[in-house]
Amino acid sequence: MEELSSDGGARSAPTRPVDGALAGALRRGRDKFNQRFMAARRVYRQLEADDFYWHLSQNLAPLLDAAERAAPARVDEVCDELYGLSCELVARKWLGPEARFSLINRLWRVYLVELGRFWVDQPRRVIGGLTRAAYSLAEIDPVKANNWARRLAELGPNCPDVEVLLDVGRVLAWRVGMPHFRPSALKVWRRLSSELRYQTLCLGEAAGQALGDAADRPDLALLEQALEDPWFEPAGLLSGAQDEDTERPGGCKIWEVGGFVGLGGEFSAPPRVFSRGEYLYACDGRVCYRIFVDAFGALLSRAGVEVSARELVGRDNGDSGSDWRALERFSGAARELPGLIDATSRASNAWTWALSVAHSHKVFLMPRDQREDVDQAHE
Amino acid sequence: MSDEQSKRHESENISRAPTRPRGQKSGGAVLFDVANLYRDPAEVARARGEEAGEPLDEKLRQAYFWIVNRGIISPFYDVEYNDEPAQTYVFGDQKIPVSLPTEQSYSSYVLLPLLNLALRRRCLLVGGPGRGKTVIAILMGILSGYSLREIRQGVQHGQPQMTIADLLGNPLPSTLMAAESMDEVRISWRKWLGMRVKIIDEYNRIPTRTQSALLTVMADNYAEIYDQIFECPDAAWYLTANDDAGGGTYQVIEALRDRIDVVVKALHFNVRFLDELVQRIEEGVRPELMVPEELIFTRGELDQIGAEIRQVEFPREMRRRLEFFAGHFEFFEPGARQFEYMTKDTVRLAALDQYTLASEAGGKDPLADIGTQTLNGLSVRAMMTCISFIKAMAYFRGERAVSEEDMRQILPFVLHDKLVQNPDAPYFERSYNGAMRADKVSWIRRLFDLSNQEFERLNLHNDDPVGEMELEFKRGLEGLDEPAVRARLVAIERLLASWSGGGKLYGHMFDDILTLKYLHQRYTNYLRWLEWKS
Repeated sequence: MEELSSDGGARSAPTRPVDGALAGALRRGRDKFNQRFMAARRVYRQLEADDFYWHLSQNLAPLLDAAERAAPARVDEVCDELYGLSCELVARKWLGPEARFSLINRLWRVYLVELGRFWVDQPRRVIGGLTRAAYSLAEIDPVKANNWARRLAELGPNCPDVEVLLDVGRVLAWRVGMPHFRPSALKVWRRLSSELRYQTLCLGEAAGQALGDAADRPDLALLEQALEDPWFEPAGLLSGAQDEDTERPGGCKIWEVGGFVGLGGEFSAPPRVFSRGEYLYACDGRVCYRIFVDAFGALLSRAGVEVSARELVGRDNGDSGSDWRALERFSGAARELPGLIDATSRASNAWTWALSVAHSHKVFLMPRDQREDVDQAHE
Repeated sequence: MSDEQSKRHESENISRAPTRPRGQKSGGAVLFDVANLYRDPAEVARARGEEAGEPLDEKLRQAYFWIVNRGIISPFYDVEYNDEPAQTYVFGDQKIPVSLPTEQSYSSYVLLPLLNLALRRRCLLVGGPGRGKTVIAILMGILSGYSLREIRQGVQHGQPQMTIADLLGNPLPSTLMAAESMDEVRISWRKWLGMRVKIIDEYNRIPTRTQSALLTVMADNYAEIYDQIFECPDAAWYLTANDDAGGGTYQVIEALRDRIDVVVKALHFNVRFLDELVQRIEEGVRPELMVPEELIFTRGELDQIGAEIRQVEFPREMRRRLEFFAGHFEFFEPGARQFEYMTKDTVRLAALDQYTLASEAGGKDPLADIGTQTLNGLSVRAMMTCISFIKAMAYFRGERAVSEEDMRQILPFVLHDKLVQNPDAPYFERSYNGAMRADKVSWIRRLFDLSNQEFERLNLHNDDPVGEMELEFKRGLEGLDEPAVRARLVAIERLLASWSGGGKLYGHMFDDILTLKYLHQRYTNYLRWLEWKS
C-alpha cells in the first residue's frame, strides 16, 4: 500500500473495516460524527459516503492508532479534529480513492504515522498544514513533493519538537527543487541546528553519506558562504558526486523549463527571454513567466502585472554581444549543445544565463561562469 | 453539532477575497515565502489583506455572499449591473425582457438590508408570511455582533394590544409610589432601546398610539415616559409587514412611514430550489446559528464603514442627473399663481385634489411630463436618504465614486414609499404600463430612465447653462467688479428671456428658473453693495 504510485492503485485498494482506535472513537461520538458528516454534505455536495468510508479505514484509522500510541488520552480529541478536516479534504478530492495526488493519501497513511508525537497535540494545525504543503508542492511537481514527504519523515525523528519539524519541511521544500523558496528557506535553514543544517541540504545518497560523516563535512561558515551562489551544489564538494539528470558531459549543468501548452507546458509559441533587474523572464508574446533557478531546480511562475507580455514585443535580445561572446568562450553548454549558439534570445543576471531557441518551447538555463566577468574586465 | 463546531465549519465557506475582482491582479512581484508553506492560500491571501488593511467593503461583500450562498435561499439578481451589453431574451405577450447581466449583480432582498446595516438606517421588509423577512432581520443582528438570544429578546412583535409600556418600559413601582415629582420616577427601560439593531416585527399591527411612541424613537432616537428620557444609540432598524400598502390591523401613521428609508420586498420562493429546503429540514439547518465569526462586524467597523461611505464621491455629472430626476415631481403648474408656490405640496396643504386643478395644466403632453405620474415631490429627507444609499451601493461594489447605474438600481427601493404614485396618470393607461401600478420598483426605474433620456435629449450633459452659472457663482464674489456682475445679471436675464417665450413649463425648468432668480438676487444685492462702496 505504501508504494502506491498512481490514483488507480488507490482506487483499487480494498476497503477494510474501520477498526482500532478510530472505531472506538467513532462509536463514542456516533451521533455527533453522523451529524457532522451530514452538515459537511450540505456544504460539499460532492462528498461521497463511500469515499469517506474508504478514507476513514485506509487513512484515518492508521493515524488514530498512531495517536493512541503517542497519547492515548487524546484519541477522541484527535478524532474530532481530523474528522472535520477529513470531510473537507475528501470532498475536495485531496484525500480518498479519488484523490488527485496519491501522495496525500500516502502522507496520512504512512509518513504522518511515523510522526505521531509531533501532531498529537495539534492535529488539525499540523496535519492540515503538512497536507496543504504536500498538495501545493505536488501541484508543481508530484515527484519532488514525494521526495519532500519521504525526506521529512526520515528527518522527523531528529527534530526536537513540531516547530523544528515544520522548519525542516520548509527547508526541504526548497531543497527538493523549488527554487522560488530559496531566499526565505535559507533564512529558516540558518536557524536550524548544525546537524539539521547538514541533513536538510543533502538528499542524494552519496552526499548524505559524505556530509553525514563529521570528519568530511565542510565548515558551516564556508557552506553558508558558498550558498550565496544559487548554482552551488553541496554535493559538488564531495568527490564523485554528479547529478545525472542535469549534468551534461561537458560538465555544465543545464536546466530546461517550459514547453508547449499542448503537451502540458506553458508556452503556445517559442518563448523569448529577457531580464529586468536581477530577475529573468520568459514570454511567448501572450503570457510572461518569471524564471526561478538554482542548483536544485528550476521553475516558471506566472508574472504579475510587474511584467506585461507587451513589454517583450519589439524588444531586442537582452544582452550585449560581448556578454554573448563570453558565454561562447566559457560555457561548456554552448560547446555541448551547439543549437544554443543560435539562440533567438538570451538574458542573464549575475549568476545565470537564460536562452531560447527558434524551434523549442523550452527555456534553457545554465550557470554563468564567474570567469566571464573577470575576463571581460581584463579585456 | 455544537454552535462552535458549526461556526468553525462554516467559516471555511466564506467567499474568498477579492469577491469582486476587477482587471488584472494588482501588486508587484509575487513573493514566495516558505513561511506560508503550511497555510491555506486563502488564509495567506487574507493575512496579506489584513496586513495591508483589507477594505471593509470586501467584508461587506463576503457577508452578502455568505448570506446568499448559505443563509437565505434567494437565487435572484434583480439589482443588475452590466459592463458590456447583456444578452436579452423576451418572453410572453407583454414582451418582458430577461437579461443576463455581464457584471456582478445582486439580490435586493439581501443587499439592501446589508446596506441598511452599514448606514444604520430604517429598512422595511414587506412580503407575505413565511418568506424569511424576520430571518434576514435576525441575520443582520447577528452580523452586528449580537447573540441570537439577545436578538430574540430585542425583537418587538407588533400586536393589537401593544402598549407604550410594552414598547418602551415601565416605571418602577417602588419609585412611582415614593416619588413626589415626575423627576423622581425611575423607569425600567426595555433592553431593545439600547441595541444597535432594532427589529420591529409586523409593525402594522401596532396600535396607532403606540406607533406614535415608536415614531419618536425612530425619528429622534430617544424614548420618553414620565418625563424621563432614554437616549438610544444609532441603530439599523428592520421593520416587517405583510402588507405592502402599510395596512394591517392598524393603519400605519404617515409620519412613521415617512421615516422608513428603504423598502425591500421578499421575493417568492423558486420551487426549483426545493431540494435546499428538504436538506435543511432533514439536517435541522438554521442559518442564524451558522454565521461565521469572521463576518461579524464590530461597532468600530460599522462606524468606519459609515465614515467610508460618506467619503464616496458623488461626481457633479451624476449629481446633475439626480437633480434633474428629482426636479420633475414637485412642480404643479395649476397649483398657484405665484411661481414659488406651484407645487403639489401647496395643493395638498389646501386639502384639495390635484384632479380638480389638473384641467388648468394647459396643453402639456402628459406622457412626456413624468411629473404627472406622482402625487408628491421628493422631500429633503428623501433626497438625503437617496444620496446615502447610492453612495453605499457604490461603496459595496468597491467603487470610490457613484455611477449612473448605482442611482438607477437604488432609487426604486429608497423611493418606493416616498414617491406616491398617481395611478390615474395617463401614462399607466398605455398598453402594458398598467402593471407598473403594482410593480413600483420597475415604475421608479422606468421614471429614472425616462428622466435620463430627457436629460440627454436636452443635451444637458454637454450644455447646462444654469449649472455653469451656479459654478461661476460658487467660485465666490470676492474681487468681482461692477461690470462683471452686470454681465452676469444680463446673462441670467437673457437665459430667462429665451425660456419665457410661451413654451411649456416642466418640472425640471421650475427649479432652474428659481435658481436663476436666486442667482439674480444675490448678484443684485452684491451690485448694490458695490455701488454703495464706491
